[in-house]
Amino acid sequence: MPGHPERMRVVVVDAPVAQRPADITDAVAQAVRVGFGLVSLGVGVALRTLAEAQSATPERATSVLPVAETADALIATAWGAARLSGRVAASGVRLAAPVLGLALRPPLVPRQLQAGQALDQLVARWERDRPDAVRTLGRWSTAALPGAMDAALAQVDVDRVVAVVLDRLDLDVVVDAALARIDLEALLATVLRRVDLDAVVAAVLEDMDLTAAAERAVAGLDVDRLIATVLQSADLDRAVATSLGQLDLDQLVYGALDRLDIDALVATVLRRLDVDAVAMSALDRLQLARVVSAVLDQLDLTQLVLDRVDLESIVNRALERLDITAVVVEQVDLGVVVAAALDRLDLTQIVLQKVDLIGVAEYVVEGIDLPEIIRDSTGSVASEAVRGLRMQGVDADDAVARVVDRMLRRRRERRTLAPPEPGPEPPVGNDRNDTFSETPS
Amino acid sequence: MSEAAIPGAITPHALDVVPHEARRFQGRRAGIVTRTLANVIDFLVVVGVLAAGYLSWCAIRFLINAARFTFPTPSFLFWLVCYATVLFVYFTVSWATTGRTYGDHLLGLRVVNFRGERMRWPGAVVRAAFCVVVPIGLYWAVVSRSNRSLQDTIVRSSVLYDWTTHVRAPVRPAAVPGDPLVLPAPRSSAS
Repeated sequence: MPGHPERMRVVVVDAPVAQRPADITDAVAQAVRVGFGLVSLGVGVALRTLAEAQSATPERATSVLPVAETADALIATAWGAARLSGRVAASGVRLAAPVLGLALRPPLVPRQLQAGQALDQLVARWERDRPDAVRTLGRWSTAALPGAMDAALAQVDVDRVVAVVLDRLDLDVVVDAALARIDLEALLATVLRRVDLDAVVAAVLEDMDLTAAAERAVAGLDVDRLIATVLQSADLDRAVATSLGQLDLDQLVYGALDRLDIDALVATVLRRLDVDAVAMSALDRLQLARVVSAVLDQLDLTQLVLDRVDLESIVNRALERLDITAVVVEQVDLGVVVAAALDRLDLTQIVLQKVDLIGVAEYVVEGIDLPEIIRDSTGSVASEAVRGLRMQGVDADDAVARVVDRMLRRRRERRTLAPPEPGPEPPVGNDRNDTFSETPS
Repeated sequence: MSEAAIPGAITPHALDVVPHEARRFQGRRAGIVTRTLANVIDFLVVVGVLAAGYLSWCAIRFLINAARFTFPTPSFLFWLVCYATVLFVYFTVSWATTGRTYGDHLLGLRVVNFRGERMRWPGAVVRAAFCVVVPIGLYWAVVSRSNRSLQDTIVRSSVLYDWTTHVRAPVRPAAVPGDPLVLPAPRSSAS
């Protein structure tokens, strides 16, 4: 990984050290197998190259002695010889091992004089020097490898190699494995930290013909479908919030405003635009009812009005201008309203629940002077007999008066009204028979 | 006693206990028949008083000397003087206190002065004297255009239909001709 070169180097140095010392015969046999594998691989590549070359020249379609079979026969013979020699060598090693052990560490010989001791010292020295040697090899390879790679790649058709590799690779598996191993967020953070995005964007914007690009993009896009898809899939609130949180809008806007000659820009726009036509065109294209309906659906008008509008002031001004009483009297069918209200209300129940009937009764009794009424009713109209006597007397009075007036040829009715309001005493000597004038004063 | 005015509070009203059919003539001057019936009742009352007095006198005399007791036989003049005296006192006290005698009470009449108020004592005395001396003056009401007797004309009093027990407030002319003023005016504190 590019982020951990040091760790990778250490792994390379320490990995070959085995825990269990391998036997020399096994190592030799392994080396022989590797050698034959390499030979087989090389022969395979060569045969494929040769087959491609032959396919390019179809005139030699038939072959008397196929190269592949010949190569297989030669390699098989060599493999058999190698196996035989390997077995012989292994047997020899097993037989020679005790002798070699005695030779390296002969008994009764001081240890300092034993050949094995000298060999151990050489080995120990090599183990000490080995890291330096490996580092030297690394430095050398670091310096020499690019040149070697360039030289090697110059000889190779890299594109074809890459194509072959890509054909053989299961890219999905590779990408999944790579994504599983990569800390994408850390990688993205590192990239964003190291990349000068402003410079990149500025360079891109300078190089691009944005108008043309936008026209091409718009021409190729199904904008409605794109917007619908984005609106369905995107968390716009979160995206906008994130963008607003990351952007320094003030700086952005102020920077743009500093660079712009707004007056000139506005003047130019207004000079070139037929504002009336633009407005009329916009109004023609807009479905105002739909737009307004959508806006109203998005807005909580009630809360908005409650938050933004000084309702008290508006109501007060409206009430100052309006004669609500006159409006209600003129515009409202009060009879219908009252009738509807009375239909909905159970007045009896309301009165029973809300009105202090006992208090009202006491108030009314106090107001009408009930004791006086009782005295009147019991004192003046004692019985039906008295009442009948009085009524008959009155009728008789009227009858007698009519008879007498008729006899006296009186045309006007009698003036029997009661005396007027209490006032100053009439002047003495008034010989009028009726002191209490019946004419309204 | 004045009380703090309560906003929206109703002012005390007196309900008219007079029957509806009788309200049309309340406050008007009474005719001769009613007044005659009232005077007949008053006459009977006075006769009753005299009879009671006579019996009381007899009882006293009997208690004083039962053995020599005889019914007294006063002269006609004596009876006439006693009758006139009792009638005078009876009329004066009735008109000056309640405005009506017992006969007036039964017939629903009330005697008022020229202001429509209860008669004062001097007026009551003069009117009672005229009624005792010239009882026939009552029948001047038959021919009077305003149903007034001779006594009424002299002392400027009136005898009204009034079926209530309190002194009736003066009745104002009706707003519509022919519509009798039957509804009582709001009663003042003096009434």
